[in-house]
Amino acid sequence: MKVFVALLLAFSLFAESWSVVYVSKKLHIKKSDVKNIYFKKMREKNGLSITALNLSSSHPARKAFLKSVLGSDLHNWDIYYDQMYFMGIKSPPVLNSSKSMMSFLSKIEGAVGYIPTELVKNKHIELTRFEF
Amino acid sequence: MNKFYLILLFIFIASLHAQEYKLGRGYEVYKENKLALTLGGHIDINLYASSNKDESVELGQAGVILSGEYTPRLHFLVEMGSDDIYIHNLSHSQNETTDIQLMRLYGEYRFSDALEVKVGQFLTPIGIWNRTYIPALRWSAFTPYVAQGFFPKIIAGGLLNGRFFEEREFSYSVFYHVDGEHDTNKNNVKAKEFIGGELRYHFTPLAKIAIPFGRYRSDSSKEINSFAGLNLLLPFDKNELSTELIYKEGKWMESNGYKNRWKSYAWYLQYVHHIYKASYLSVRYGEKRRLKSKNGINWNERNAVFGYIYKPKTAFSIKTEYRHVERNGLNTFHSDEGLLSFSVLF
Repeated sequence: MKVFVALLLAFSLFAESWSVVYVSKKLHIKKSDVKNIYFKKMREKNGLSITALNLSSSHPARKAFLKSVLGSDLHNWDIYYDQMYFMGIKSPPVLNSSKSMMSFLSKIEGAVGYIPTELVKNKHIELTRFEF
Repeated sequence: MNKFYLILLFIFIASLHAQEYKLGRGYEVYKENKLALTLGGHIDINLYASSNKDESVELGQAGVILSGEYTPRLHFLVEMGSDDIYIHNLSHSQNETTDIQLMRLYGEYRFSDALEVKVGQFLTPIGIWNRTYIPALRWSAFTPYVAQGFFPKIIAGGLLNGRFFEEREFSYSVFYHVDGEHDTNKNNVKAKEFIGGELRYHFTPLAKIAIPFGRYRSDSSKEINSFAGLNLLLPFDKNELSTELIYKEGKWMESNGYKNRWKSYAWYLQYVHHIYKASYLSVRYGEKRRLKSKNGINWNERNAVFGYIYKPKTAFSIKTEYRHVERNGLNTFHSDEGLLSFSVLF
């Protein structure tokens, strides 16, 4: 089946471009949706459960993503998810590298993450994994 | 009681040594297939001094929290703990203790973003103060009037939650509290037939304006209470502004029907400024008034709180606060209080 990789938006990070990526035929996500997804206000769309993925807080791309896409910062993110944890809701899972994120994205339909744009453009990455 | 402290200490120390642990998010103790269990807790220790009362050292709120997620749609939470667990009067070397009890126990199922159903015992989802509940998540250890006696802080029953519209900017909660007999000494208001809710508009994930409302019957008398309010939370740059207003009317049964209404209201305005690195300053003014009370005497109470907060992590803070309180009309008094508090969510 046709690979369906949606590039929502790209943001620069030390001259390296990153992209928000999801892999699904059912999802049609806007930039404003990404914010709602990462703050768990939107946990499904078109009947599909959505899982947001994060890189670790020390990763430079995480900070750039928070600022450029979510319009937030680590401090406000932590305040929000401390409160959510107290109500029994977990923060999005954290992955150690963009490779791990690629791997997760390829396995879970409805997963949303961010990876270097080159990884998406580069035909040598295992895009076949995404074929379904 | 001692076992509870040991469990709390064990969880705290174990979680600090756990891999991939983040303060304020609990320690994942189990993850297999669809089920994930997280164990954590919170502690609040205070040193309190007042011009009207004896000095004391207090273990205020403390609790052990076990939360679980079975698929992304179903989660549950259990919390054992108490408020004012241990108070040691420094002037008379006397101790007061409160038993550990079940504070929260609930399960929540999400049918969609627009409809979540929660059943059990949980915090009343009203306002700003009542939802954060523990000092580690608050800017002040002094509770404002709006969160003291206007509605039960904990309810046992059912709740519907949801977000609606394309951007999910509106949300709602409606709930029903089954019966006052389920209340123990942990609740601030004994109530039955408590029905209410809140409508909210979210400017950002953290900023919101909301309208709470509700109605309940007092458990100890034939009194019916109705309330409504407004609250606003507005973080911006290095500042946070918050305010809550609540208005309540009561009437009670007499031989010829419900009569003799009384009214009361309370509000506060709080401002927090991030001054440098982990240092914050806070100031809050609050007031409570009762009009047409049962005994015919109107009274009001107001206070101002000034604080310095050291918050190196969002889930950990050390607060030094000063509060001035004045009461007029009935049992007139004024007091000056100081508080040093240490609070952590782990």
